[in-house]
Parts: sequence; structure tokens; C-alpha cells
Amino acid sequence: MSSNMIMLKSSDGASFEIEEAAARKSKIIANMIEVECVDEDKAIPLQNVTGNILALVIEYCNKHIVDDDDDVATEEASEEEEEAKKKKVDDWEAEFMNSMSLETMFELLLAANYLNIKSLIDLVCQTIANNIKDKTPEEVRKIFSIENDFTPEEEEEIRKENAWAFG
Amino acid sequence: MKTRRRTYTAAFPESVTTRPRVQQVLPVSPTITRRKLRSDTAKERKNGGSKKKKCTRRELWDKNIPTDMLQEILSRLGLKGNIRASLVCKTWLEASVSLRKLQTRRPWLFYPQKESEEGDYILLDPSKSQTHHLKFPELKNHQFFCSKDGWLLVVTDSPSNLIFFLNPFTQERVYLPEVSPEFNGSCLTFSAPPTSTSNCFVIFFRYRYLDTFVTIHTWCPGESVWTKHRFVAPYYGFSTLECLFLNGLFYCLSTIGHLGVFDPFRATWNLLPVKQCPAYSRQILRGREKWITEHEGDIYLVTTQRKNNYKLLVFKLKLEDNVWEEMGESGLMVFASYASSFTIAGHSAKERNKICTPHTDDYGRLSGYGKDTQRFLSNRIAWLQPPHNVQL
Repeated sequence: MSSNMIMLKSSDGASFEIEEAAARKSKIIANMIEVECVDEDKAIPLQNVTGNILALVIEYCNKHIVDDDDDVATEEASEEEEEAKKKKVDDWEAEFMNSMSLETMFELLLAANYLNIKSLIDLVCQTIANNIKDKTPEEVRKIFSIENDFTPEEEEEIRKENAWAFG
Repeated sequence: MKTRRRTYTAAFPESVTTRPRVQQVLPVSPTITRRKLRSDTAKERKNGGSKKKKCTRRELWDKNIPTDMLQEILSRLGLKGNIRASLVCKTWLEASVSLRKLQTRRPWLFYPQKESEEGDYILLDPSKSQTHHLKFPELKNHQFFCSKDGWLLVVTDSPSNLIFFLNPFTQERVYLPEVSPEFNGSCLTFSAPPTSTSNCFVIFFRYRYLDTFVTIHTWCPGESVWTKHRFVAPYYGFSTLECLFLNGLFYCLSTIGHLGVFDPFRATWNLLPVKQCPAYSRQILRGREKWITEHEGDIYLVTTQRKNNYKLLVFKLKLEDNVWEEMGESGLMVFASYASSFTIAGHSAKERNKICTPHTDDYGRLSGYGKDTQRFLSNRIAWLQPPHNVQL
């Protein structure tokens, strides 16, 4: 592996070294590389991402760059192998998401959005969606600490109009 | 090296606002602190309980999650989940309602201008009541067969039996090879637009009463002839009524409610052991027009009831139980036409459980919400799914 390394710097001053191929998962960083505003000796400052979140982002990017490499190497892999590999990635993603709190998840989502990493946005949104899929509005409010800002009348109105969805 | 596991130590700060303890990590493999925040959050929630009342959505949600991210999350909930989510708070209500509108782009109607011999056509955007006048001189003596993603499959009447794809939005056309004389005008359908990167298959289906086999002809872009597949088949019905492509398979419903599946990739035909839909056995529904339609990955059979002001009846296919389950309130809005039917989630109460047929009145306006569908299903009128950026 003799790919270029790139330095990223989090908002709280932590520096991370990452393979260029992995960093390119972020459209923002990829763009920076394209327009050559990446100085080899200087770290790219990421003002909206803290170090602990950036570490997660990098872990994700590294994992997925490995998988992409494998894809090229084993283009003729059988269907079962493909499936097994996909399952491995799914399992890894499930464990990755499972290991973090909801709050971390939100920060990760903000970071993925800021860095524009589509597949990570998808993964986090899907995980959050799975978390709230079968929950009642009351349960969702509790999970996210959201205050109900409807008047009882407004709430009743929405419930009445959509009775079938609350059955 | 690539698959090394990192170790995360459990040392984390007391409060969320404390700067995270992240070490300088270059250039060798680091030890990073990943904080487990569940306990912190709980603590903060307790402490933060005394915040001013108007200061809603503090703490977890107070991360300034942008609206488009909220919509990304809500878009993965399905219609029912979306509606439940709309009751969480006003921000969520706004996001979920605008998402519902976005997701439920209504199809446009494409139909010939009355008494025009010149091939004058009208493309109507029902949500804006806006009409566009277009000319298609070759559209004479033709029928529309299948409509998907803005594309129509058009067949001119015999003897020419010319088959082509037409996209009225872009004026593109793709001509298909001459069709076999076996084509009798029933069940011609396609899986994806001819220009799309996913696999486009065009099939037509032939089965005659008491035949012991089913014939399916297929064509893919680039091929110069149709391919004929013949399958020995158990009794299937009088003919095919409706075909629908979903998840790589063509689902073909016969006139007596048998459901067959054609796999275009493996070229196989199977009759599914699905119990006949109740819509076929109920006396009052016999002879009523029926459609199969797809919504969010599920297959539905829809029909109308003459009493109850042409109430929409919806049956959902439950493949795991091999039954069609009748749905009381489906929340769906079905745009039915001879060529293809489209189903969207009605985003206001007025639009739910409604069927919309392409009947236009003398002024060219759309009417026919819940009217007698049979009379208005002309094969020269079709619903079209508009592209995302319509330029006419």
C-alpha cells in the first residue's frame, strides 16, 4: 500500500493521518484534493468535527476503502462469496452503529453531512429511522428529548385526520 | 495492517461540554477515546429539566440537525411512520408533510386533443392545472400499453403493429423490432426505461383459454429480434389481465385471479400458490375493473365498489402467507389507466383511499374522482410519471 497520506485536523486540534483513497469518501475532501488546495505538509482543518467523531468517520472510511479494494480484486467472485462479503460489511456496520449512543450518532450524522459522505449519511439515517420506526410519537419525544409544542387541540386535529395511521 | 482493530478506552469526561480527550494520533496507530454518552445524556437531561419552557428541543435534538437530514431520516419510515412522526413536534410536522408532498409526485395525464387529426396532444400537470400542447403526428390508430418513469410503450393498430417507446417529456423515441403475429394486444409491458442503466426488458404475454402452455416474448435494447419462451403451464385463466414489474420479476394476474411470475433473468415461469383474491369471488365485484399496482415495494389489487360512491377497495398481497389481505383504510391514492396504474400516498385526508381515472370533461379538466372507472379507461390516454426537472 503506497498510497498518499493526508492529514486531517479536528476542531479541537487533534490530527489524524488517513489514506487519500479513504479520505476521498468525503466529497468535500475529494474536491479539495481535486483543486489542489491540499498542502502535503499541512493538515486539512475540519472546523465542525470534533476529534472523537472524526475518529469514527475515519474508522468508517478506512473500513469501506478496504472493501472497495476487495471488490476490484475479486470481480469474478461467486454469488455466495459476494453475499458473504456483503453480510460481513453489514455485520460490521451494525456493530459499528450499535456501539455508539444516540447522541454520538447525531454528531456523526452532522459530521457526515458536513463532510458529504453519502453512504455514511445513509447508514446513520437508516439506523436512527430503525430506532423510531415502530415507536409512538410520545416514545419518539422521550428518546430525543423533544418537547411537545402542539396544543391538545392541534394534536387531536392531526390524530383525527390520520386516524388510520395511529391504529 | 488494514484490518487492525483499534482499542477504545473507556475513559471519558464528566460532562458533554468538556473537550474530548483525543490524543495526537500521528502518525502511528492511535488509541482514541470513544465516549459512551448514554449516562451523560441521562444526567444532563435531569439537570436540564429546569430550562425555560419555551426553550424546546434542548439536549439531544438541540444539535441543529438540518431539515434535510431530518427528512433523510423520515424518508425511511414509510407513510405510516411519516404520519406518526408528524405528531412529535411542529418541526417534525413541517418536515414530514413537505416530505410527503415531495415523495408523492402526482403523475401527469397525456391525452389527444379532441377531434384533432393532426396528432395534437395535451400533457396535463394536475397539481398545477397546467396544460402543455404537443404534436405527435405519428400517434394515430395506436394504443398506449405501459407507462413508467415518463416513458410509454406505444403500439399502432394492425396491420402495421409498430411498437415503440415514446417519452413525451423529452420527445425521445426508441423503436422495437417487428412484433410476431402472435401479439394479440394483451399484456405488453416493460421493466425499466430503454435509456436506463438498469435492465430494460419488454415482454408480452400470450395465453389462450384451454392452452396447456404460456408463451412469453421478450426483447431487450440492442436486440434485433424478439425471443420466444414457451412454458408448459397448469390452468391459468382465460388470459392475462394485468402485468406488473417489481424487484426483478414480472407479476401477471389472470382474468380469474391466478398470479404467475416471470423471471426475465432466468427465463422461468411459475404460478404462485396465492389464494384467489376475494375481489374475484364476491358477487358484487365480479366484472368490475381490477388493477394491480405497486407502492413502496408491495403489490396491491384495487377495484371499486359501485355502491358507496365507487369506494376504492384495496387488497395487499402478502407473499409470505400467500393471500390477498383486504385493507380497511389504505391511505393510498390510485391513478388508474388502461396502460399503467400508479399509486401514491394521499397526503391529505381528502386524497386518501381515492381512485383517480383519466376522464377529462369537455373543457379538458380532470374530473372522475371515484367515477365509474370502466367507462373512462381509454387506451389512448395514459398517466405519466414526470421527470424531476420537467422542461417543456
